[in-house]
Amino acid sequence: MTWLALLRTAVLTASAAVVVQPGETLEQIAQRSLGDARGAAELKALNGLTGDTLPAGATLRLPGPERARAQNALMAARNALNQSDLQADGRAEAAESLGRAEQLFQSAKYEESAAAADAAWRLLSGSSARSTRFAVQVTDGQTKVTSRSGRPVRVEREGLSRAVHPGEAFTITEEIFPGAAPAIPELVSPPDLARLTTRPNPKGIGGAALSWQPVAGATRYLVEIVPLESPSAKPIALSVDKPAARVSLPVGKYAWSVRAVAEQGGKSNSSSRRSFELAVEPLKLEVKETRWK
Amino acid sequence: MWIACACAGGDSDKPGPARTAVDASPKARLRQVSGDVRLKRASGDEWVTVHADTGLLANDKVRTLRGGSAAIEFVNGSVVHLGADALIGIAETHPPPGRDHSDLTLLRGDLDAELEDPSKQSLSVNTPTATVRAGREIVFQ
Repeated sequence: MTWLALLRTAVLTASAAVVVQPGETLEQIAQRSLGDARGAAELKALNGLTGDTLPAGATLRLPGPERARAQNALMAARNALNQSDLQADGRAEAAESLGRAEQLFQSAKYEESAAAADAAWRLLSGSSARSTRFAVQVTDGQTKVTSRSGRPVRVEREGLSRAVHPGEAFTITEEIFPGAAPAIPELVSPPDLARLTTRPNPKGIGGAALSWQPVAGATRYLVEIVPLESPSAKPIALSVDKPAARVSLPVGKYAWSVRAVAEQGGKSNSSSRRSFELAVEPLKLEVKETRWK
Repeated sequence: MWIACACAGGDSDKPGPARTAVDASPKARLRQVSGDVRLKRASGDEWVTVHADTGLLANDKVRTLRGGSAAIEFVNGSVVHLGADALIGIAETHPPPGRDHSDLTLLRGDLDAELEDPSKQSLSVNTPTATVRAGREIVFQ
């Protein structure tokens, strides 16, 4: 082996591992080495760890470049899903495939995750290859939109919108906008990756206050909370009439997003996704001095 | 919305002398003209007969009369076919760098639009009651 080859091997080995510092948690290591505290689950899976505590000086293996490729694939699929129409062909299948991709990513199975995310993206982008054709007709006080082929077109007015799919025609007048969907809600609090704490309690349950910007034309909001640490657990769905919700959850990590619903039932696409961790406050023990000897 | 100037209009691509605040680069080009089709420049007040291959600038208006029709190709490649008795305006757009976006206002009549590559192109049609959006902008807005 040449000097150059030896040096390359040494550099690759050094960049593919991280040494645990005294008192460092998995989240801190993930933040330091991957730039993302959420990568703790990946490090755990990648290194076959069973607990969260790590001895100082231990060496953890880091993911390779396949992680970045999986991240890109996931981002493209998330964007496509968030911006896709609710009635889009293959949306449910794409959502399922994306959910599987997210789980595989958490398990550090990056190549499988990228493949599942790509599959989700393809399901949502299948119609984009064809040219989009549509017609618009304006007559006295009304607009008729006919989508002929390709991607759906979107009809908008004053913050409300509605998709018109190929083969579908839709007429909007000055007074009536049937089936309109409100704009996508913008999340406010908690910020992404927030760590929320709760007082110790026997059930290990805590509260999380979620809020988002009110949306014009929305009469209620659908909140979806997805447990990140137990892939088999079902997402929690809430319907609230104000741009805020307070939920009680077992401690753990969650992702959440919101959709706005208009009076006539039209739903917006999902907001961007944020995650938070609900953790138990560390117990403070104050032992007073006693005179007993 | 429309910028009207006192200078003379015409069917040439040359901007009028008073066109200082208007983007002088053509936004679109008339590809086919059939029957009576007229143009009113943003810088003029007159409707003049127009011919194929005329460049269209921001805030210009195109009108097809009875029996007339026209095809307009925007710089991003999207094509709009105007039916008879239609009136459109070429909107002034400032898309972010890297975005190919076309924008027009349909005030009367009907049009057929085609985006050859909707993953890269986008087109908005504003009408008195709504805005119709097609193409890339829908996905990446």
